[in-house]
Amino acid sequence: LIYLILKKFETVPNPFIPEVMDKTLKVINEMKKDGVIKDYTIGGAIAVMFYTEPFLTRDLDIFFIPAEGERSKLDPLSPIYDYLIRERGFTIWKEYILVEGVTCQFIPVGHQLELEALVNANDVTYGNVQTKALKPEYLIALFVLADRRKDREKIARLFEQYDDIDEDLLTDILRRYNFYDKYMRNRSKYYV
Amino acid sequence: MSDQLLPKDVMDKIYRDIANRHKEMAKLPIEEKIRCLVEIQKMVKPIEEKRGKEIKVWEI
Repeated sequence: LIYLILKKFETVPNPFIPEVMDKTLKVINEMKKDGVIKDYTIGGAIAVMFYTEPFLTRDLDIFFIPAEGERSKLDPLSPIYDYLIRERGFTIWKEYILVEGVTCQFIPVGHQLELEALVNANDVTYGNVQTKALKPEYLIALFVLADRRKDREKIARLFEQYDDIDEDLLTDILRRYNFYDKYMRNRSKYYV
Repeated sequence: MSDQLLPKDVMDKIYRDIANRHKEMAKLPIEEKIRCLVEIQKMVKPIEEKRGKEIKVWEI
């Protein structure tokens, strides 16, 4: 019984032990609360990892809707740089902003599909922080859109390791954005 | 003569077990997966450095 209890606690996050990335997400939530961005979601490899085994990635991709205003339209990243670097004292490491020890890449939603994906993202809890992560169907659609080798690998991972992909939702997204034929051409070759 | 060195059903079982292992890992809590990711980053860092690339290992 003790073994089973310990085994259970091995996989349950301990609220008293800080997690990698939870302070980062808290900062990003504060950024939203302070009106620097309108909304955000975790995307990219970390969002994939919500559904697959862990694998190497260099950064935490944050898709965001810029705050209202002309400045945000012309240069959506500058309010983020001002807030995180000038006001909060975080630093730049290569093309990333290092937020609480995590290399972050902030990507403004630049395509209608990205906006739809963000609006429909899953509410998730990380440690004791509330956040959002893209749904697997939207991740696949976005990877079909980008269509780099690493994107194809991530699609293959999702199909291989996650059994609950909603094929109807995926087909609907791909058809509405005219990626369905491209997806079908690549499907047997790269994804499944 | 067949090129198959081991019976196909044996190889199928091995591949099935590997796939199941990946699926089991996929069921870990996300916090555990991120801890694994940091360990992967630590392992990859010296290899990347030898190739002249840099990788930042995430910190708590």
